[in-house]
Amino acid sequence: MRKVFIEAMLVIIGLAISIPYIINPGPILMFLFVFVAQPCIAVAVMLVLWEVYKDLTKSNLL
Amino acid sequence: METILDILAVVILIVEVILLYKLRQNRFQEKLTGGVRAMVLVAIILFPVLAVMLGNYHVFVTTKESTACQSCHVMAPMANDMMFDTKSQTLAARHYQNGWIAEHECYSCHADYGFQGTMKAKLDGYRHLMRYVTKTYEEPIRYRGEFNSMNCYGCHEGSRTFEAVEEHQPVVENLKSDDASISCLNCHGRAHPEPSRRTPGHEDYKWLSNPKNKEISVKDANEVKEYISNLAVSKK
Repeated sequence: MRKVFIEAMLVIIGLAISIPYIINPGPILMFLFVFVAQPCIAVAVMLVLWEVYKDLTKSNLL
Repeated sequence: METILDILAVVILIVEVILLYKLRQNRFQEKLTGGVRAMVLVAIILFPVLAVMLGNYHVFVTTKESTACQSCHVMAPMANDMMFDTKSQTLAARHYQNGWIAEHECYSCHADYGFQGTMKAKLDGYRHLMRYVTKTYEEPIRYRGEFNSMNCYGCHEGSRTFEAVEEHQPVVENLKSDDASISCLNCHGRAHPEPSRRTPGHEDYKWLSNPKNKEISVKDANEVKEYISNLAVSKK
């Protein structure tokens, strides 16, 4: 489970910015959403997909 | 729509807290079970991606609203002149206060700017956001480049009042040519308050930045007193 620790942290940072921005949009939250939250969530998703890909190739499913 | 977004955001938050807490409980497992894998899929891929999509709704749709432009301090003089100065003769104020534009008043004229439109427009939008947040701008702000008068033509094309003015025909031909040299503003006046009025220190700047700061003139003060005394009499 340590495998998704970094991903979970990135998602927490991303959502900590995204949720307030969705509820109360403003210029500063928009800046944080565009330049911090989106990249954090994108990296987290890519890391998880990379883990899934590695698992599948390891078990000869891909 | 805003309420639906708010509700979805709260649902995402609650589900994420529960799922991440459950994932933490399973952190010492060597082999991930199917249930845990499903939780990872939902908590780290599906719901965060949904949150990004909801956020991007605001980035691309809500930013078209004039109140979104007004929320930046640096745009306040333009927006407040347009919305609240009933004596203003700027094009923006006349269009807004007479209801000539049904919605998205700022975006209707500045259709080639912001997070929509061309790549250059998007980059301009991101550059302005960056400069606003890092406070690397100076007031009064100035428009880089030239306003595209074809944005006016987009609405006025074909309207009876516009077509009735003969002088508009050569202007339209000029605007449609590759090297347009005429701007609608040449004849129809300023779109926004002069840069001098938007400069900190100018007597108009204080209330253009925040209409609540507008001082009540002696005449207005007498009207307010009369209104209050009438109100008090009528309540008796």
